[in-house]
Amino acid sequence: MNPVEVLQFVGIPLGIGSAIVILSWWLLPLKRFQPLGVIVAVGISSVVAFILQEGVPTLPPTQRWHWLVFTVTAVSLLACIYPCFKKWDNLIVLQALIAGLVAGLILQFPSQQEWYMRCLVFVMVLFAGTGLRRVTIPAWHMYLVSWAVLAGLSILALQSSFAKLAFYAGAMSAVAASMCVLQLLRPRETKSVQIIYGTAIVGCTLCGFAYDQGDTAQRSAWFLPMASIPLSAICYVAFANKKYRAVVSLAVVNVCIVAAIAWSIFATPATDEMWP
Amino acid sequence: MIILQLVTLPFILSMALFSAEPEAETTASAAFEVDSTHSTSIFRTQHMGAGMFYGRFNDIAGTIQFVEGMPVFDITIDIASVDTNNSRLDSHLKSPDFFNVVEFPVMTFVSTSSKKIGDEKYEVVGEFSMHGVSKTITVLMAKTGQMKNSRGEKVGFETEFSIKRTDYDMPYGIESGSLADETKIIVALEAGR
Repeated sequence: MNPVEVLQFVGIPLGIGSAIVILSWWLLPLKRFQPLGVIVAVGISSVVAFILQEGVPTLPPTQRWHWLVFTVTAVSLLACIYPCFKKWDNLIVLQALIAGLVAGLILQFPSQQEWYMRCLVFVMVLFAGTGLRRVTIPAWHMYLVSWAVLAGLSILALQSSFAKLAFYAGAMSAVAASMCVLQLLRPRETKSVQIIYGTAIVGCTLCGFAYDQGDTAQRSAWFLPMASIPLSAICYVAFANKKYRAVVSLAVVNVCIVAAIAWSIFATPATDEMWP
Repeated sequence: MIILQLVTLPFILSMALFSAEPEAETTASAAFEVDSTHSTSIFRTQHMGAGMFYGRFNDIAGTIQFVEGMPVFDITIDIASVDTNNSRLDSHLKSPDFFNVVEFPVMTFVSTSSKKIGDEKYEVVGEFSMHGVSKTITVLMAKTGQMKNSRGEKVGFETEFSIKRTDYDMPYGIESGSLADETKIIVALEAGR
């Protein structure tokens, strides 16, 4: 991993995603269709981030971890439909339920094909999707949480020597950061984006867990960043002081991510060897 | 007469079956089991366009059989046994960036035909499978020795061939120039029975 690779594998999806959103400011003036800009940007960035690593994916994929991009793409296409239906706009739970069903059916990582694992994927996407965005939780908060969680997962992937997943999660994290900045610059409707980020986070978590060669204690760290999402949502909604609730909820996310990284590092046997 | 025929028929059939067995023995001898301790599998690839970087696989299994005097190989290498003297690099090689040991735990070579091309030298054609991709390759196998003593019979073979990682859907590091596409593989086998 070198700066040129970081620029290529993270910078290109970031640039494409940001350009699509900026273009959508002029191309999609109707308020109803504004969310499509971010949905398309995140969906295409995910595909670009993957293609830069593995080339154009084939169906059925040659390696099971490729199901990650198929799932995120399928959920992105679903997310494109929702803004077209006015009544569905705020049905966040229904969106997460459908995204969970899609993810449960498509995600097929090694040793995760049992029916109970698929049920678990469904529950995880449901919690991550609804945890990222409620009507009461603002869009910038969702982007900040997605940015932090995916960055944490990228570091965990690097720690487990899975560079391609590290770049994919890193690219998605950078795109979330860009969406956050663009959202603050020009606030736009962002309905349905949360199911794409929720699915990407669950997918990266389960993918990293499936291929991590560490022991169970080390591998368990993968679930901590994802678990911080519903915790942060609970903190945001339940915290009495409205002035500081965002600070508290984001602090919960960051504490969980730092704990996961520290957990992973300390669980790895100490070595003097340099990263190759 | 019919009763006599009915009684003798099973004997005739069983005689025919027993007489077929020695004939099979002359065409295919008992298989030699690969001795993992005394067998070696090394790979070599260029790093950063500069040095030659070596690694090895510690666990080799399989059989060598002689059929009508020609060796038949069925070799399996355990990817999880990859050893580069750097645990972080081993871990990276096992990840989906390279071998993806979780999905493709072994690489195999199963020979389909052999041809003697010189003194103890064979041209062996076989199916080489790695990372979920199978390709027919031809390797030159040199018989390094064969001996028989009180500890049994041993036979040794050695081969050296090159593959392109891109042919096996394993292109990591090629575009960035950190690792070469071509990888040389050296396999030295000792098998006993």
